[in-house]
Amino acid sequence: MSAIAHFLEEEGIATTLVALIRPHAEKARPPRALWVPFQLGRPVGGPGQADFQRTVIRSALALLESTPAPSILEDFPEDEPDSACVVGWAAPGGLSADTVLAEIEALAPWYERSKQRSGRTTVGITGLEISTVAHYLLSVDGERPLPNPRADFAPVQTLRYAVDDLKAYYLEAATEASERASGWQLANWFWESTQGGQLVKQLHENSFDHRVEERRHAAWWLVPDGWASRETVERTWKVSH
Amino acid sequence: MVRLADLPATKREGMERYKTPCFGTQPWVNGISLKQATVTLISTAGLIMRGDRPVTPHDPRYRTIAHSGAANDILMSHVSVNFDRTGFQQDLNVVLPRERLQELADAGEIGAVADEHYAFMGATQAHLLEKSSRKLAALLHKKGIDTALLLPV
Repeated sequence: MSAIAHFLEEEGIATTLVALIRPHAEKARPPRALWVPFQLGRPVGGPGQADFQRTVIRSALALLESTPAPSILEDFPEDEPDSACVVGWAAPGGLSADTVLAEIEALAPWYERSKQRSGRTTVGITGLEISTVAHYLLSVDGERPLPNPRADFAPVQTLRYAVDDLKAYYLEAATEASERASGWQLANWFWESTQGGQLVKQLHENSFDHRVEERRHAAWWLVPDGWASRETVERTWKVSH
Repeated sequence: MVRLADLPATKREGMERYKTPCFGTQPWVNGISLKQATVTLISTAGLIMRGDRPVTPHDPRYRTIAHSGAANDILMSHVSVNFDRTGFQQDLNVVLPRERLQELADAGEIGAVADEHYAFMGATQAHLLEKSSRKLAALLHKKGIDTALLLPV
């Protein structure tokens, strides 16, 4: 991010950026940066917080009218509103089931409702139906793996994007069914309480010693650090990529 | 909550090991007036249009996203799993605040919003981005876009 700002500025485009990791901005010294203390993935604040998002953007843009300096790094003074975990939150009953396929069925009304209400879904990187995604992921490390449903993608890419679509389906449905859960709580529900999360964790585990090198690289991008053991993360670091 | 101390220990250690680029120069464009500026958004979330091929790690090319394009057609193909996506899933503005920028333009706080925004894959190395960043700068000049707000994930 800082590198793009540097190159654009050298070419005469004025830049200002939001920084999520302050030490990185301190070292890279982009022309203008506003550090925000928000969750990774939320550079201007949380969903539906239009006023707050505007305030963050105004603050970042204001740096463009600052007195010239070698580089500017300012701190945004507020935390993201409503980002704390909701005390006592639990996912609504019925969202989880005994199998991945049963969970997908249980989540379907919530997923469809979310899509209808918002006019939008982030499921679709693979371009496959969610049932096709699930059947592929369930079979891929089995005795009779299904053929790669996206033959134009390398198998490891299909695996990666299928996991993204599966997670997005679960999380969009759970968000629709839940009230005010934090991003962490929703993710924790997926990784700790669903068969879908367990399936991805198993695919992650299977990646470390896989006979195909590209699949071993998948260890890097299947399970977030927060939901993997230290031992697992350290094994990931040993997989070159 | 993303002070480094708040991250899982293993994630924090990964962030601390990250090789931050260092540059020998400090470029600075002078004389920007927000009320006159035409502003574009640049995201490193690996955003793509629905149906496009996902961006792979270390692909330095940028993708173009129309300011007026349907939100449902904008997907995220960033390879990292170590950031929140539930915000993006609920509100595209969390990652690509097109509506917020338009509101600032409508209120006269900025001159105009560019007709296009741009997305890179953040999972890459800084030096790989030089050529495509300079290419993007040339395009921005050609389109009369003088200012960029860059947003990571």
